[in-house]
Amino acid sequence: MTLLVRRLAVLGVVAVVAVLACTEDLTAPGRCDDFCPPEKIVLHDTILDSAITRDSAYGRPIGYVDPPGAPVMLAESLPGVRTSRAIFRFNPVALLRRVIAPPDTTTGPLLQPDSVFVALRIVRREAKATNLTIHVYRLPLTIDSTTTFSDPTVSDSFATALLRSVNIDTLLARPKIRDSVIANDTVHFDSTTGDRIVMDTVTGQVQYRLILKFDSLAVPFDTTDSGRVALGVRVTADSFASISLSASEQFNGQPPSILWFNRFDSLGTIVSFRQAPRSTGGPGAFDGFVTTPGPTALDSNLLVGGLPEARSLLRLNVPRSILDSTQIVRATLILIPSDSVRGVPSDSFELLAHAAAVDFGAKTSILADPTLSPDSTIMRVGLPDTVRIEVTNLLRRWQVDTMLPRTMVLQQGVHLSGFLQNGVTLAEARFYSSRAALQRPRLRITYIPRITFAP
Amino acid sequence: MSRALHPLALLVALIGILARPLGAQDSQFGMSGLGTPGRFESVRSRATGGAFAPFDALSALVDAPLAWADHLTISSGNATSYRALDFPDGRTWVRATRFPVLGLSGPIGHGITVGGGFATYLDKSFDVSTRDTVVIRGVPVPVTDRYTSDGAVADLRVTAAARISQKLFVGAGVHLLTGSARVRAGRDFADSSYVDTFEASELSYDGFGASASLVAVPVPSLRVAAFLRSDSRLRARENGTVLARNDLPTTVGAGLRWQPGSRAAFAASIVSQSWSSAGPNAYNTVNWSAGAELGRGTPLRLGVRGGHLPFGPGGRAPSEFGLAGGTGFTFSEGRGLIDLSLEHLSRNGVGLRERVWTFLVGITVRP
Repeated sequence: MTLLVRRLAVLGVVAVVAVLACTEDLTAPGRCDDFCPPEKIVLHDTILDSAITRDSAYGRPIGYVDPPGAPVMLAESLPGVRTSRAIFRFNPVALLRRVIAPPDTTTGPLLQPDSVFVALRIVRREAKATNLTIHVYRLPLTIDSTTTFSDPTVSDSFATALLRSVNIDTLLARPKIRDSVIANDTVHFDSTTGDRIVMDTVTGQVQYRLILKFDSLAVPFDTTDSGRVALGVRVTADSFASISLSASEQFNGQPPSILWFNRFDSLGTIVSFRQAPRSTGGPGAFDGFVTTPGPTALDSNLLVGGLPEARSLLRLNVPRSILDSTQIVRATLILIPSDSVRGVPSDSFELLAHAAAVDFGAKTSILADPTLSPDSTIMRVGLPDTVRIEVTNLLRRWQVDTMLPRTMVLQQGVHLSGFLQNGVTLAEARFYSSRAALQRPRLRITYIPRITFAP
Repeated sequence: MSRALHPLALLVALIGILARPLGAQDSQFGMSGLGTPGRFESVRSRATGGAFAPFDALSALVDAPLAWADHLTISSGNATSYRALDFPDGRTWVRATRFPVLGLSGPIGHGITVGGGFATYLDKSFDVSTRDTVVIRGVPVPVTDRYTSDGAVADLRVTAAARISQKLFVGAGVHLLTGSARVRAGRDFADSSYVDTFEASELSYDGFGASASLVAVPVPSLRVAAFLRSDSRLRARENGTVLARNDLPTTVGAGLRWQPGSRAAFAASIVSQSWSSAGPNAYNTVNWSAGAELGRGTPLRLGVRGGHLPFGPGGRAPSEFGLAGGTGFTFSEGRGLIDLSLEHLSRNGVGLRERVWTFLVGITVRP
């Protein structure tokens, strides 16, 4: 071996060792207590009976979301429980007149349509409902956010001005056709009435787009009102008749729309003219719903959900010895219902526990932090069980952000079209407040006290 | 510096950068006490089981041998160890790389040589994972706990040695013990209802020591060494708060080196340390070693060692027995040295046997 080769070999060995110097794997199974460090991880679990104080409910009679501002319009017929009807008004049509024969700029009026299509998106429906039938009524244009269920003009219209009744189950049983004119989709089509329906699962939920065809007798083209139309929807079924229609306030929604196929006299030749579709959003439009009986008033209990939407605030007084000096591994808010959750029997919603950014009572704002998802639990209608919400994330956030008020906001949330939205359902939950000594809200915390490391 | 020394100097720097500093050959037994004591031995001494350390200027065990260092010398060592942990119910392998010793020395005239450097005094690195099931809220929940410590206490030394006569060399040194350990304890829950958590901190350590030694040469083929070291106490702090003070041992040792010819040398040493005052699960130790260096240029080094570790559970000091071998290469007319060593240690204590294979590389530069 030459001297050079010998040197290179030795240097090579040293270089390999130098590279190996980067690696390490010291992990070994512990055999406690002999071969473990003396410090121990100890868990404590405690129920804080009086940690929740000064709790209040807000949102009645004016809610955080009211029916006219809700993302959905609720139509329900629940005998003995409540009745709700959707009401909406489309905004004016784009054109009332049209140029008769270009380039002459003389215009002539649009004539009565030969067909009118009204599209509704059913975003939620009671799955157990059979023979679900939608009834469409003509309503006066005077409907607005002050309209109530017992308003005579509205109640009279629902009693007399029925335009169409459509059985959803029957329509869904119709054969499919390709509709490239109205729905631009494959639809179940009723060739007799011209109605069509599309089942849509794009958002992860089963939704329906219902398109009803009317003629000018049912929905006349009234130029004195700029072609505005107000309609109402009532729903019936064998039982559990309940649907939610997308409203203009729904994020990622599809509010009702109307499509006019007007006719036009072009120097003696009657031609069709398709108007741009109108919706229930924008100037002159309105959508909402009316319900009876009206919302229950607040009492000494905590209320979450419903419409007008109610929220509850809980102020927490967690001992500093826990909040400041421990690792909270689990925290559970325990709420005892004062009444079973009210709503459609198979309905459910999420009960969300948010951290408050500031505590201004009813004006309290929720902490908007994309890194902190609200803690939540599923609430099912009709179940009177004790409710437990895991609020670990919230309390751990309080541990790292001492400036936040120790206030928790309970809010309702419903997944709708891929987003968690509130003001979607009339279901509401009531819980005992801290004023009920035996049933008051409680906080259960599991934590690990600070570890003293062995020297 | 010759051209051949350039890559050597580069490798010294490379190892210094890549290796985790201030470590040593750790042991699970060290968790019972203050840690695992380091060996103040150079790679060439490790190859002889530590027997030549009392006569090795590159080792940090004894100060007096510095007196015959006639050049500025820089040396470092790198150790990669594979350790098998044999518990009664199974075996686990762990791997670690350490940078246990670095030294710098040189003559300043009048027969006096000064030196300095660092060596691992106590290694405090470990990583332990345990599984258990705890009952929380009335429900059994599987958990995994993990305790880690990453750090060590280093011995920063300044020493001086002098040639009193042709037959007597003496040395003395002061030692500053300093270091830190990043400690972490965490628990993972199998039930996602519980949040995995951990707590971390950094502990700092300090202490002080002094040493003195002499090497006598009664006949040219025989050298006898005796050494004494006393360390004060180890103070542990967390965020400036003193957590503990632990007494450190007094070390007494002796060595014998016999060189019957130019191609063979034999040595033996014994070291006693009074660790029992350091806290619970601590014991006084006596460690011995014997070794030989055969040949010149690229010698063959062999050694054997035995004794006890100072910390261990069960009321009994773990025993240790080791075999070692190695060699070395000289470059550039003796200005560059590379020493290689392979060591096998067997440790037996209550509830655990450890088998350790350690490969060491030492680099010495005499510019």
